[in-house]
Amino acid sequence: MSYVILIDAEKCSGCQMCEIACSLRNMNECNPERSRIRVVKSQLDGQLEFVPSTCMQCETAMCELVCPANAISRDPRTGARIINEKKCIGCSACSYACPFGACFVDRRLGKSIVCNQCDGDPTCVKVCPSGALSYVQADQVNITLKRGAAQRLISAKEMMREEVAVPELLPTDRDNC
Amino acid sequence: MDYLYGGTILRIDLNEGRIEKEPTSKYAPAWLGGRGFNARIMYQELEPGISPLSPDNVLAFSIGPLTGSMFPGSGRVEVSAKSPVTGIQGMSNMGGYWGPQLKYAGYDSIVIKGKASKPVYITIHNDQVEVKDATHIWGLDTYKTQDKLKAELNDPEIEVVCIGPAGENLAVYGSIQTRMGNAAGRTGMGTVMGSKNLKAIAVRGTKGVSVAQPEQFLNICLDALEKQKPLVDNARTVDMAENTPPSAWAVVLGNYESNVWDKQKDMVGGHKPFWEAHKNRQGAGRTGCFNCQVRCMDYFEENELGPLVASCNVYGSATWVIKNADIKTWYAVAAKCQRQGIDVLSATRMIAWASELFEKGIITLEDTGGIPLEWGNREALDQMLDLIARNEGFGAVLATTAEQAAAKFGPEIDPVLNVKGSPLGETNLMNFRARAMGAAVNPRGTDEYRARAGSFDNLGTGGGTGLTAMASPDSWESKMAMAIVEKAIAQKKEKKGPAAQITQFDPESRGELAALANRMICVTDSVGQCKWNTVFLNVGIGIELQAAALSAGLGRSISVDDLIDTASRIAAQERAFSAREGLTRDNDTLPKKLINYQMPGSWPDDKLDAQTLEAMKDEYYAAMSWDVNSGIPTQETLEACGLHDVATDLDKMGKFDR
Repeated sequence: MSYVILIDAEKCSGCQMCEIACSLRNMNECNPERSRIRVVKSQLDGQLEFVPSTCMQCETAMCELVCPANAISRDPRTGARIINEKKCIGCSACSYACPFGACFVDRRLGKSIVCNQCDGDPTCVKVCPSGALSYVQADQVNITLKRGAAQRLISAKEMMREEVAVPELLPTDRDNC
Repeated sequence: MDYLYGGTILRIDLNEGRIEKEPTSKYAPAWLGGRGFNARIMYQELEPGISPLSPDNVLAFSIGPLTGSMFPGSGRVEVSAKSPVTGIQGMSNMGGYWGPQLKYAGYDSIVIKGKASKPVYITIHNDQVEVKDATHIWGLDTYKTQDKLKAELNDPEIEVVCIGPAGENLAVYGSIQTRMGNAAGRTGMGTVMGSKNLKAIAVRGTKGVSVAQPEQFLNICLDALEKQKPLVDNARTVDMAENTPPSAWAVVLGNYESNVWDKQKDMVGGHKPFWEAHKNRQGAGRTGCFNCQVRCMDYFEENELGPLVASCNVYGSATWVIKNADIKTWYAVAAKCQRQGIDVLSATRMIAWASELFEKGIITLEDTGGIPLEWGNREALDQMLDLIARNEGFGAVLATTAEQAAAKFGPEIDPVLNVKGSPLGETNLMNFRARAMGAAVNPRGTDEYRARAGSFDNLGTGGGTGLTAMASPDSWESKMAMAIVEKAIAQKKEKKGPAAQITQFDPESRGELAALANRMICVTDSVGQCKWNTVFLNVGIGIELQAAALSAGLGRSISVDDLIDTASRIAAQERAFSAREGLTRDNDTLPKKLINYQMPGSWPDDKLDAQTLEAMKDEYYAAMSWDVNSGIPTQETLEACGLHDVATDLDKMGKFDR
């Protein structure tokens, strides 16, 4: 069974709790630079956009394929990519191959690191205050994303129903019965 | 490598562009960090009697040991200098994301002296520090300044603090703005930057924060987050407009004209529906500061007025205080103040002062340059704020000190409602004795925030709303506060019989509670955490967790008592600064108008007489171990805090003479 960290970027409010929690849990230090999940920020004249980004758990992982040291494999419990520290030579081939920039060579460690889903209990998901991150079975991404998008239509229809008044029987109507 | 601290104090002399570094060990651990560092630096390095706009003023930005760490809500920065608004120590606390970058770059404080010969900005990238030309960004609003610097320095991860035209043009309450609507707004710290020709400070750091016991620290933080989660909404005040009169705890109309407003029905839920209609899709309209799950701010996008991130206090100031019921006008005022770098609380209070005088015909259209200063007139507000930012025309009158502004219209004109010279904000100081108490003794003047804990306001009464009753009864703070209140109730029963009680209007215990709150807040402001995350406002995190986090972070035991002792030292140091500038207990007061004043629409018990205020102050000074007659720390207290140099100074100045 495979799991992924599902990202709803629109919910992200840019607090960076995920970055700090990840780096502390996995690298023993509070440092966004050493976090395996990062919030990409955009701010222009007060307009804010935040997009959290981490490993997408590709089925055919380029990182695994390009690694010259065969250091990358899959955790059979969670499906998360695991980088074997002993084999890794810190060459960055995986970083360049990854479509998302998810793995990267941590310069102090001298090895590539990537989201390991914290052994099945991701800390970033635990601390995220906005619901931008959730931990779902990989085969549930389909309905989860569709539900998220459909929710807008469902909410709009609920709002419309609330605005339409239910006509009341006027006293005169009753009197005329 | 240092644990928790960045390790270096950065010193910049703008006269010569000289940059020096010294170790943080000069101030830590005795002064903890943040506000504590500033207290010591201001006392030691600011000559008494200097002018706030002189190059000799010292401007310090200090962060705390927890800033940038995983400890909840720890992104705060404490800014201090001599204030152009009050003439005493200015203090302002700022959130956002700049503080953590300063820590990651390896610094705990930036201390700035002198004045650059032309506009400059400072850029810090880890060890590399430069003073660069800012001529091309001088005059830009604070949003554009941040965008421009990030583009110019080619790094979107850079965090910027900057001033806008108001600070540049030396309007006294110029603010320092940073990302997402955050600001060091009060006491004119932005104006001090402007007086130094300093436009901005851009920081980027990659070193992170080291902790001695990572697993322990992580667990403490996760536990703190769990405790806090059910309480996060206590810090949000989107529903303020829905309070029915008499207003339970919130705001006052105009210049304490009334507790009730006939336009309130237009505004009931006024903020909330507007929020629903205009909340930005990003973050579902809710956002906040670094590493904070409280997310107390609203993120709007209005078609005509553009994006805005606004937090709670802005709301009452741009509605009730200026008697404006129109939500769009509120929005326009807030957005303009942020962009222009104007402290919205000070500006709106000054405008309210002038509007009342305009209504009475004492200020005329001739004075205002033809602008009708009618309450809530959106166009007039817009023009006034522009003039304040340019420090021109009638804006120059509004942009000066309380005393100077009043003097322009004659000796019989009362100045703007202020405490120690700083214009009052929006909160009602009269309906909780704790607020009057806090405002009277707050070292920076301005408001009640540094000597009052909201969660104590209704202790022992069995009543209170979410903000004013105690949500964390097992906390150290709650136990200490309840002990104070229970003792006071017992004493009152002895004197007045078994039916005696203490309500929010009663003065008993207020002094001791304010002393407790003062110390709690000193700790929070010094470790780098936001007060809006703590027991202060019923948002869950208390001093026990702060001590535990510091212990695990530093790898040595820090107790609650250690922190309280440090807070006593910091409070005494701040008080000594004031004493050196000539202040005594006589300056711990409220505006004349508010003494013996029964505001229309208020509860009968709201009225506060001078004798009661003095009695509360007596209790406060005693609880702080300061001299009750002078309000100045005693020689014994200073010695006990290790402040022998301060004791010697004050002794020489005759401050201990009875």
